[in-house]
Amino acid sequence: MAEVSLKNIVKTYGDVRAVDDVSLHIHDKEFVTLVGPSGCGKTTTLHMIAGLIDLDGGHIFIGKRDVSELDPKDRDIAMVFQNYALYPHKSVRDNLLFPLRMRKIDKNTADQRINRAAKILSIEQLLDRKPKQLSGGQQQRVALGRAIVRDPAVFLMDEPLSNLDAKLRLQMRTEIKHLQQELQATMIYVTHDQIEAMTMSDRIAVMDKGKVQQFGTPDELFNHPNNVFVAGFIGNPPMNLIPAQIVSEGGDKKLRMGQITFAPQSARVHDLINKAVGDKVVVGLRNTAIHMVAAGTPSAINTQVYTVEPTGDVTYVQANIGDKMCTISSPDVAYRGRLGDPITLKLDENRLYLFDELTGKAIV
Amino acid sequence: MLKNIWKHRWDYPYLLPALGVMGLLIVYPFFYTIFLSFYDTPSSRPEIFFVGLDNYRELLRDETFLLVVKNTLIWSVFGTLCPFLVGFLAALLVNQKLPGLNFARGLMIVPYAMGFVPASHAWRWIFHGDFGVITGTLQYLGLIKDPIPFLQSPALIMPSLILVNTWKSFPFVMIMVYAGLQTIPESLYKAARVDGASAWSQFWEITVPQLSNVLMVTSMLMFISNMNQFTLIEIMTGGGPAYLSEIIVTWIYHSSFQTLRFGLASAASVLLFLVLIVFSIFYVRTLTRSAVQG
Repeated sequence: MAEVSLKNIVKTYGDVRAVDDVSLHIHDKEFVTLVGPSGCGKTTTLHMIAGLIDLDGGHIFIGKRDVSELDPKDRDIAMVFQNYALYPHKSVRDNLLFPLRMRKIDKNTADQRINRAAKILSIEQLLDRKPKQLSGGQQQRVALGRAIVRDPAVFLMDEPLSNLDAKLRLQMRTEIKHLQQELQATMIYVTHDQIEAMTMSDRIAVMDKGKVQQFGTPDELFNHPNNVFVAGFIGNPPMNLIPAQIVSEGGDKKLRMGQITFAPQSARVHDLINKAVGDKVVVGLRNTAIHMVAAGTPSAINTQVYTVEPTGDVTYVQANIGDKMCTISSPDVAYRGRLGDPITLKLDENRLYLFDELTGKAIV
Repeated sequence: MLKNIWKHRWDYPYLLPALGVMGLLIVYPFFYTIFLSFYDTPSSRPEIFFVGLDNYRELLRDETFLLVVKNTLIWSVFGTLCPFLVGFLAALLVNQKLPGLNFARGLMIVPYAMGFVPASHAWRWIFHGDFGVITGTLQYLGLIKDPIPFLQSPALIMPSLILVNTWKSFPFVMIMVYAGLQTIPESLYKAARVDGASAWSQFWEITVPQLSNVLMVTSMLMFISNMNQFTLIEIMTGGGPAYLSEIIVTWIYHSSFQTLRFGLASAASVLLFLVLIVFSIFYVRTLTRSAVQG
């Protein structure tokens, strides 16, 4: 196992900077996820680490070695692909054997490694089948097995769960995380699913437009987003982001969100407002940081129910704050308001975020 | 089933014209050929005489016919192998992402798009001993003194014909293989590169096995069509000189319509049919197997 360092790596396609000056340091035995929307550069970054895509700039280190110019086979990595990429004409055993055979590993050692991998992944009874005879989940295990037998310095995972159905995805998510800890492996994992990233990773790199927007633990990303993009991407449901203007009324600074003028009570929010450059900001509030309270509560916001979405253990209420549709967790799971029912909301000022509208950066 | 047929009873008359044409052009000649193969058909008399298996016996003893069979085998095997190799390499070439290859791809299809008759006439002249462009050019350059009689020399005639067939048919192989290459997922090659496979290993471990059905079907189609290749040989050499380029189909044609031995030619047709049906069964099996797998 080994640490992995990306130093200012760049990939351009024509005018598009698909990967724009990305630097990351991934520790030995760490599970790091690259997450972001389609086209954010996460898969390109992973393929650059694998050596499947050439770098246009920067360096990649695996362990102490600069592997930037090396072929994939010389980088001591193993990769699991989104569509598994199992060799269709080979049996499961031959699929697992292939990387070992290509590296001229002797038959006995190869057999041992295959049997060990098959045992870890419980695919022993499938070894003589062809990939087409396997279910999606079984194929995924075989693909993992083909990576494990290599005993590589780094595991690279390219959206390995996105072809599975929802239930199986949850199960494999747990298994991959368990596997990573069992093998004490350095794993770099790409997904567009932030839940997958949050649940599996030691650290997450959120990417957008070819750049790393924030690199940190799941807690850091959730509780201290660097910018509007991370705030809106991490968390389910996503953070409510309400455009606001800072206005002065009677010497007091307030936040105007649409027709609503919100007068902060806490010193913390006043402090944030004072730090803002310009008067255009974005107010960020998690669904749990907006509370439904009794009508008439002082400095609360009056609005109306748009929809109610029960999910079983949580009931979400959608309602407008200013002109922005917001999602709020109802304190009462059994709450079933109808369209237009009046509700009163109180903002949790301890958990209110402020972002600069122009740069998107968090104001702290 | 019966109920279904009854339900559609008024649809069946519409099949009659097609069935009639097929019966006239395929079913009747097929059975009549088998029938004739047991008869002697003297050209001087209107009657025909039942001779049992005599026609078949004569064929298998006739040295000329055995030479023709040998020619047919050489022609079909090498006439398949050569275009196959050239077409395969061409497909691998045009599958590269290099500039100008779209144009090259279009250009390479020209021989295939050209009809057999004009192509055969053109090549007959190209190979001509006295007026041919090959001999002429070589003489002009001073590389040879005497003209090369490509289509007269026992040593050169079959290779020359196979060369023309290679030129004419390699685009077919190229198109089939190229189409096959498009269906191989890119991720298999990526996986193989990560797994440590060299370009050579990738070719043998992924490309060839992934194309196996295409290669099988293509080579069988080529083999069958070569065995039946009448136009090219009839126009370029007419089977001559001295049966050196005669293959079974041209021999059948010459025996029936020039020497008027319809019974003997029918027997040869039946034999050729039996050989081809074996290949056709293999062909259909491969096709259905790949369809089931695909």
